[in-house]
Amino acid sequence: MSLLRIENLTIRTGGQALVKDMSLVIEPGARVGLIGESGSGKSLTALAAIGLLPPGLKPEGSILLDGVQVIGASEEKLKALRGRTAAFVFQEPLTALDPLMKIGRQVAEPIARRHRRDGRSAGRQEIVAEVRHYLERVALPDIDRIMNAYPFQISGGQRQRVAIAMALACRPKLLIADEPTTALDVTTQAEILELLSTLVREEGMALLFISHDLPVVAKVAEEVTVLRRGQVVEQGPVRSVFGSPQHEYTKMLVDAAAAFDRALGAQQ
Amino acid sequence: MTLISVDSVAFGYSRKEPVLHDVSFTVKKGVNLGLVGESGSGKSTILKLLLGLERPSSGVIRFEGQPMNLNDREFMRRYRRAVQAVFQDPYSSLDPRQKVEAIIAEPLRALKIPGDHRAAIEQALADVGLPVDAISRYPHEFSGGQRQRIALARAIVARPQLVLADEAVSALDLSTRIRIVDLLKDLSKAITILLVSHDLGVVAALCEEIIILEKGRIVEAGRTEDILARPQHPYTRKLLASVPRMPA
Amino acid sequence: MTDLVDLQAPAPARRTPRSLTLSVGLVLVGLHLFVALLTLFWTPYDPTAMTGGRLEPPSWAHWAGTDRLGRDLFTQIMIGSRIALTVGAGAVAIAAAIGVTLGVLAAFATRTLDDVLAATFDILIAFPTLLLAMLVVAATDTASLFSAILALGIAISAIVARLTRILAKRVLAMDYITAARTAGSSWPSIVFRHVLPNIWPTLSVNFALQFGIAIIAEASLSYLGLGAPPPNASWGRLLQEAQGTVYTAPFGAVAPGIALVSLVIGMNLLADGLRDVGDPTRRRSR
Repeated sequence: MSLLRIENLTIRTGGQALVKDMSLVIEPGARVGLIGESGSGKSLTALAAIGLLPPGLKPEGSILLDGVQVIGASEEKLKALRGRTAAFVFQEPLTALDPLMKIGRQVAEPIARRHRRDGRSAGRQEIVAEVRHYLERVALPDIDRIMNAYPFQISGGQRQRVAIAMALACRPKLLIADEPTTALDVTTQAEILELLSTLVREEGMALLFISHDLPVVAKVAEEVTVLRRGQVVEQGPVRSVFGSPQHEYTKMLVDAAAAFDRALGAQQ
Repeated sequence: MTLISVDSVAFGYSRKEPVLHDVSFTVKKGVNLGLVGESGSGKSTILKLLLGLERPSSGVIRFEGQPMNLNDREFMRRYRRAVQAVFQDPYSSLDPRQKVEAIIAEPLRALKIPGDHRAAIEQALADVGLPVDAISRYPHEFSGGQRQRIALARAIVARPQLVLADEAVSALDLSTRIRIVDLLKDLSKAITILLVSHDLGVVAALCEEIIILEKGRIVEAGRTEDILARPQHPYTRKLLASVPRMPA
Repeated sequence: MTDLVDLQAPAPARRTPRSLTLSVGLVLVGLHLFVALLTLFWTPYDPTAMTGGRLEPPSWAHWAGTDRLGRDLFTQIMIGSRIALTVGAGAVAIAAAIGVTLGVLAAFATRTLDDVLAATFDILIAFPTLLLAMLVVAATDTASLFSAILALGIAISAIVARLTRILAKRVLAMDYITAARTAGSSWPSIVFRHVLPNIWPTLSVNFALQFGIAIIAEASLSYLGLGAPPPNASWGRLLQEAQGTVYTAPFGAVAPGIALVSLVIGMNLLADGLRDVGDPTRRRSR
């Protein structure tokens, strides 16, 4: 069974269709890139997949997440799906974290939630140990200091690592990352991409990686879907889509990315 | 020919924490220069100094051989006429209540440049590839890429010698970005461009010379092709290796 | 240019749903304005003449009845419109002149001066408008229409100044201000071309709200005997005079009350409707 199966998804607001007849399948453990520029509907698609569309946006079609129909599902049912099945990492870690809560407590929340969900109560010691475990998993240095720090006291890259740790702590089958490196420096971006690839592989999670940046997607994904103005223009393995794009739009994007690559010369 | 020379410039908001240490470089006429660095590198501070928005704590910035003096009105008028700017976010850099005509006219009006302003504005619009009828519209009627073109038109309308571009394409979509870079390349036949950016690819595509900054110091500077082919400093190497590439 | 994305048309601007608000506001305020202007040339009766019996209920001859001296109440309420509008406009004009100047100054000022000004505004705002106005009236010795206007204008100016300072600071942080500076624009030109036009929509809405508050405050001052003295037929004074007979002749209090409420509501609706009119980003694009 596919982990996520989106079929003929259309998202409307008023008379306008923001996403039109879009289909996407993610198998367990697959790493899929969703490429699109601003207004392409890529983030909306991801939000729709876990039933988090803002009010006023109406999804039609079918979204099966781990076998459960998301469209029309009750909030109760969706809550159970989020976290256990899919976890989200956002673009701007500063706004995704609670500014007034220490990092340790923030990471403890999804852990405690998971224990409650599984119907067992975990002691404080046990939870703290798990917090440390996940902060170690995302290769944060100086964990004692970071657990006691507030989000503004650590760097942007460290914040994104914390956000990833929180997503991992849910032990999801699917990790959805929406432009997780766009707000970061280039060297930090490289580290986070590396980390994401490793974690996804080691934890056996599937990854839906959303970005406008082709080479970034190429770093983490095996398959890509290219969206333009709410419609899929091309789908397939990264190598074939980027290597021999069929659609005009994809060609243009690949040419643009290649032009900047060429300017940089051969890889060091 | 040297347009601007930055000579041992340091800057800090407080004495204890300098954000720029002893930075020296020159901007040559006709040679596009890229200032590359990550957050905390001091690249934005250099830009502020070059824009005349801050004064160096020590060191001198010279324009055509004359030390920059923010209090000298006549000098600053000449400087502003020669050095214009484009900013990162085209949504915040255009006054939402002004029509495109008033936006582009600002340098002409502020610097009291004589001549037919309307004709100059229409020429600037043509230079950046926008239709003349854009003149009577408001910024919100345009897309991000178009807005950046309007901002560019404002920067070139007074025919400056140098345009300081602060991450001028970073906020744009890839397909738009490549077109604006092409436009900048085109414009740089007549105007020198100093591009401040974290994006090595964009800088490499546009600039003949590069300065790499780390923590307020220049770690490497020189011709773009040399630095890309033979990076000397470990930080430059790390930066280059970090840029994601398309699969071969 | 046959670009795919760069030149794509932006989403059409949202249609303003506030036209009804604006129309109702305009009608209410317009009605008061018309009546106020009319009283300059014509009133049904001489406002000071005894033209009927005492405390008569409303009738065809006296639409709002008569007061305890037998004067026509409707005539007095009409004149009250003129006084209310004069007080509102005068107070807001004074508040705008002082408040916008100080607010912009604070926004541009050095840190220390800004802190001092901001603290001053906050302290002045902490005083109830009415109390502040009473102090000013007391200081000017004799209560007159002008002293009431001046008092309310000064009291409201702190609110305007604080709002102006916050709005101006927000505008000054925008890139288009940096762009203007690097384009060579002088500070005065930045204030008049960029700052004021961008804060104007919010300010004008606030002015309309303050207009309503000034009218209520003037009525309160007059009610306390600190407003425009007789023969100025302020609504506040009419209310005060009707107080003693509110059970026997309720219409003496109800009529000026309706006048007061209708003008204040009209001003508030106008304020709400105005918000969108001055903003090109909210206007419908062709």
